[in-house]
Amino acid sequence: MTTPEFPELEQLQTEMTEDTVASQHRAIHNAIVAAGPIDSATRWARVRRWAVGLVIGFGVLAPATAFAADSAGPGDFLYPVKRAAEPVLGWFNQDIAAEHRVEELETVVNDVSRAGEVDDKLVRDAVEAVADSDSLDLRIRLDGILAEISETDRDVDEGDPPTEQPAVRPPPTPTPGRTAEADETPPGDGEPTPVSTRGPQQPTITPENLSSPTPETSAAPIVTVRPESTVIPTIDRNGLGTQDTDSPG
Amino acid sequence: MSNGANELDQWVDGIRDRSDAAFKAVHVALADDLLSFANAMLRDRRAAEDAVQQAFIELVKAAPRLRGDGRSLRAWLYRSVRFTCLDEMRRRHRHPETPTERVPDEALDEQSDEWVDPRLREALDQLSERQRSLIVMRHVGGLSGAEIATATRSNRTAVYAAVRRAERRLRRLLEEPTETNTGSTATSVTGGAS
Repeated sequence: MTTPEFPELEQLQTEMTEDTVASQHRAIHNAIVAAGPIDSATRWARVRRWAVGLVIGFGVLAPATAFAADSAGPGDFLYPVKRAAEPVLGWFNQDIAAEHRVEELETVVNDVSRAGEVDDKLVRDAVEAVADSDSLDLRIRLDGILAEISETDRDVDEGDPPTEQPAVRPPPTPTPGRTAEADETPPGDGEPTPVSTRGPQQPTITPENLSSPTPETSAAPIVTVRPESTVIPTIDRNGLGTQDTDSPG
Repeated sequence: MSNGANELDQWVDGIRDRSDAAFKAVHVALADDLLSFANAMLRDRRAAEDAVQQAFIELVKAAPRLRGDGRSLRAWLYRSVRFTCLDEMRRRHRHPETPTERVPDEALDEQSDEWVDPRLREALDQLSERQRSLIVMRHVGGLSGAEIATATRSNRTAVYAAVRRAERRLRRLLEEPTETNTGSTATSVTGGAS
């Protein structure tokens, strides 16, 4: 097959004689016989190579992607990967989902440009995740974040006179992991850590008990010693933003 | 023939399994083109036939590891023939043949390319080995740029550019005055770069 550009090259085409073809077929046949049939090991080697490649690919790519997705926030490209990896990471750290939700909420709340635009779903997810968690530290952090959100909402909503519910700045969030009781007890004296001291009498933030005012929560605060007019944010499954004071009437 | 790379697709699996029938079918389909290529490189029909046979025997060994489709198979065979030709050319360069009194058994026209126009033969001789192989693969074997790239272990862009250069050079050589055919090869010795 010569191309039109160089018809002269047609002269270079040659053909094998029948004798040569037959001779070469014999030589090829002998080579095939000498090589023997392809054993199953060779075929399996091909499959094994693919399998090993896949395993290595997943073994490297999956953790790398999960690591890259660790700092992703809601709306980010890798955020679904982060959510999908949480059940697996939960084998190692039960509170990982709650930590992530609180961190995400914290990020949004601390973002000045998005002040007053906190998505209810974000808050709801965080509250539910923390409710499922046993971590006291996360509860403290969430408590502080919710208080900040409440304050921001009130600042944004300038139309409401602060007569019914006077805006009271919540106390600063204490050092995470330290309760008021723990602050009074010097560390290292054999007392259990604040987290381990949480007993049944301590309030637990759950979507159920957050839906209504909880006098017990304010009566026996774990985190801070609140003034009587401290604003306790109340969250239910349907959203956030309602606040009740723990002072009666 | 050379444009039947797609026809080779049906034999690729058989080649991987070292099927006798598949090897014969591929040999029938490609042997003439491979022989033309090797003969253009070596100008020795017997050595060219050996190169083709050697390529198929190497294919038997490499068959289980063969990848790709019919085009890949054809490029693989061209590459193998080309390497065998290069080895043969190097061997000849190291050990140039000396005149002998032995008379070959075969007739002259069966072992050489006497039927080729001397002007074309001279023009091809002035091309570098790479340019000659590119021209023959492209215009005699009918290989695509991608196949030539695989056969020469080069990238496609470089192959396209090299083929264009080789074509320009061959065209220029073929259109030169017939002075070179009268015995004066002064201009042809410069060869090589385009």
